[in-house]
Amino acid sequence: MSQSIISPAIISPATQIDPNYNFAYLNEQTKKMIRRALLKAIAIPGYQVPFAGREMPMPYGWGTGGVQITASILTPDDVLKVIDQGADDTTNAVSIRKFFQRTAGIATTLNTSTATVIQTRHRIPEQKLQQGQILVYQVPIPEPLRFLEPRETETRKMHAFEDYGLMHVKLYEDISQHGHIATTYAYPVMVEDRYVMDPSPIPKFDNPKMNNNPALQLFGAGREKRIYAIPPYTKVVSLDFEDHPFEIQAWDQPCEICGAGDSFLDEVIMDDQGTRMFVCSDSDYCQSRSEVQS
Amino acid sequence: MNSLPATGFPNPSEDAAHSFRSLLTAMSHPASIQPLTTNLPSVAKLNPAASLIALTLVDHESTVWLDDDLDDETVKQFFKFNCSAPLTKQPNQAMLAFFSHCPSPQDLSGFNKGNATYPDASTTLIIQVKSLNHGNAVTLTGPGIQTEQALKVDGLNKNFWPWFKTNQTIFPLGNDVILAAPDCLTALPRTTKIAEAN
Repeated sequence: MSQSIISPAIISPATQIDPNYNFAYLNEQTKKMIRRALLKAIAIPGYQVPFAGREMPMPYGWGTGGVQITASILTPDDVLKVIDQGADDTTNAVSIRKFFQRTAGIATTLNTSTATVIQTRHRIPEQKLQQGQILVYQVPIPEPLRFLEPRETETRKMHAFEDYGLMHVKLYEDISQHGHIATTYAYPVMVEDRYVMDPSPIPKFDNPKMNNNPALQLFGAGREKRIYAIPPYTKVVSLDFEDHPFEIQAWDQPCEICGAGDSFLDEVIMDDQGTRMFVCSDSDYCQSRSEVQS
Repeated sequence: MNSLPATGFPNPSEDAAHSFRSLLTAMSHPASIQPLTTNLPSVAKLNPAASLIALTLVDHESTVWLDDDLDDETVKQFFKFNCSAPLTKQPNQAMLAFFSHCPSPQDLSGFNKGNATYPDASTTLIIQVKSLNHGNAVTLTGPGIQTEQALKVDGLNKNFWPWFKTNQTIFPLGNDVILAAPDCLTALPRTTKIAEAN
């Protein structure tokens, strides 16, 4: 299990920067370009700002958008946490953490409340975020309307005219086919009553955490070259219908390791006989709860 | 050229990282006062906060507009030497506009407000003010502000807040404002609303 691999140390201290790299890998001009896009993204919550995404030393789909944002916001004083599907110890999280240890000499942590910057793939930590923390999402497809309308010229206009009827039709078709809204991840949200936004493929379980969050939330799509943001204390509403209100996933049982009844659970297959186990997807949350109990 | 242009950050990478972080915090917590992270000298009439913003955000891809008081050789030399910035006198061409003092609403009418498909194309206005510690208080609300935030500014003319209110009505278009005092800065993104103006 992932929980036994994680070391109990709260912070891995800052290390020496590899002298062959500029601080946090990117050159200063690239950072300026991304920084200008970030300020625009915060000023227009939920709107996708185009940016000149660079090639990174990792393939698209591994978080190149998130990595470019993290590289542009990091200072030498930051403490970085990286999670992939809630876990600190999966390949993507480990390699991005090592990337910034090497190129920024940055202190890292596995602990949610200790981190100042958290880069995430497809989860929001269970532990409530605080003002001053920054959550950086890795985004594969930033356009919530893309599967409904493939042309960028058209989706741009749909956002301009607030023409979101098509998205409601999609959710309605879910209901007519399945009896309920069957979208379970990348569930569309309305930001500050203006822009419909893709929250990245987080489970809809995490959607309510985006609303009025004290932390700054930044989204980076490397392949699609878009940056968007939710400022702290901003209204984020999951789309729904009066007679089919938005609902989050629920489980019949608590986490089998820590007993949490309020966290997002992963189903883990234990053997060839089909034995299964439900455990927290957020490894830090699960481990900190287990430590308190033991 | 009879003098060397004013220099940039002593430690370009780290200083820019710290100053951007304060700009990021200012924009995500509108009207919060952010201290300057690097001590810089004034460059002619360009104050330390405005030169910090210039060094952090301006490069060869960002067209800069300077008001008449800033449009002198020393300041232009600073922008060209440190930022490789293209300078323009056309307000609607500017990505960033620097003002030595608060402009009138008429002065601001020509700047790019973005368009419906690309509201991010608007000009960001950097306005130098005397102080962010005293002056008339304004109460602000909006994204990034938990309940409400008071802001005291000395150096804005009386037409600024009515202009800012109008700017808010054309959301998602509109200009974002950064106020640059000699020793600190704050930001007013286009989403910020005025609760009451005294």
